[in-house]
Amino acid sequence: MMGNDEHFMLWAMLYNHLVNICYYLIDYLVSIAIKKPDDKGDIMIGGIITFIARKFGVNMSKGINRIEGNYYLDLDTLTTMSFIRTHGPSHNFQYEWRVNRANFLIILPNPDITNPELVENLLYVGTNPQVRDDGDDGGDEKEVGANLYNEQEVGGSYSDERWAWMQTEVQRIHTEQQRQGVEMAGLRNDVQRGNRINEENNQMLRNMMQHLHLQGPPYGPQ
Amino acid sequence: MASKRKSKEIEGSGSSASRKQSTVQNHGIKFKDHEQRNMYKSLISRTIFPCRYPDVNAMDKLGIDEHVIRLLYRLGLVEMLKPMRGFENFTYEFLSSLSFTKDRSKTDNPDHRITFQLLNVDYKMSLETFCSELGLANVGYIHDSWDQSLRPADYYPVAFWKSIISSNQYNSRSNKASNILNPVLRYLQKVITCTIWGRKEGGMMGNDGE
Repeated sequence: MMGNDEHFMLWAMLYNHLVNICYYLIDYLVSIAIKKPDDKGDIMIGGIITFIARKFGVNMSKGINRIEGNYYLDLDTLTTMSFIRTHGPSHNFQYEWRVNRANFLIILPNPDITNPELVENLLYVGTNPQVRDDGDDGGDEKEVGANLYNEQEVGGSYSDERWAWMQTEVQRIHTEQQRQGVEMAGLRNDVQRGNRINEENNQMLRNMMQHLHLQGPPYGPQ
Repeated sequence: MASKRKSKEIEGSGSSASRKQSTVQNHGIKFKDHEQRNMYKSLISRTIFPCRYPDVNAMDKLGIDEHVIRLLYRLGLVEMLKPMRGFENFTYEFLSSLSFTKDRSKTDNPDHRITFQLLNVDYKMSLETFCSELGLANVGYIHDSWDQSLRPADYYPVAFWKSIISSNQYNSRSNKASNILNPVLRYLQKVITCTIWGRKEGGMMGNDGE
């Protein structure tokens, strides 16, 4: 379940509204702290408190009992969470995006499709052959490719056979469309989709990515 | 800003921090009252996990890095989300002593106050000062503020929710993050819930049923 604050943050990020992040942060940390003694809710904000401590000049070498575990939302974690799975043995660097475990199939990476600032991408149900329905209506190919939903599958299990079938179907459709000279990805060019960020912003983003990227373990005493 | 109370150094800390150092009584915390002690007792009974930070390699492989980081930047979260280790003593001491007193007597320049303790040093300050120390501005929307001027006029939660999930997935009583369709938004939601709104979810255990 998403909290109202998280929901609001997504909206603010997406539509570029300024949020008093410190207010929210402190409010949330208080709520974590004041849970009743019988509340066994887990605590997962140690790194953020380290960030605060650093900002107030606390000596990091005084940290006791490092919190152990995986610090990253990496590919293994996302796979474990059923966000993604690798896309076939011949596509070592492609991943299948999963919503509700199996209802959607978008082959990543595909930044043009995943850019959330294009409204059509928020509910992406385009005719891209990488997306297809697992429904059983037997409709025509174009419509099937455009329809992502099958309510009955929501939250349910999804067999490997079904998944394998879906991959085969997607590949078949893709091959067919290529044969017909329809390169869907080519249609999603910069001019059509607009909102491309300029080189200056690109540089800024690269700098920020570098900031986030650490070659070694997270900051702090080993 | 920071008023020094007692600042006895914690023994045995540093780069060789390990589980055996838990023998340091109460993580080296000098409790200022029974309330803090009780809070500490409550906190140490709970399981503690590391934050999970955005992973540049994963974002790059999925082709979502540019958009994820751009949206995080809008909230001023990029620096805060630089991966940092968590430590039990900082976490327990900060949380057991944290207090946030909201000033609801006035909407014009309210004097919200924050107090906390780290390494047995008491910190008392305004929200304004706290924001400044963190390098963030004390401005921006608070969607559920009692101050109407801080509420965004164009935020309609239901409409927004419907705009990012399938219409046939909408449930007025349940906003499941796993219904978000766009990979960037869903990754952002996970980043938020694994860091500043840190909580361990069902999704961490092999499914995505948060």
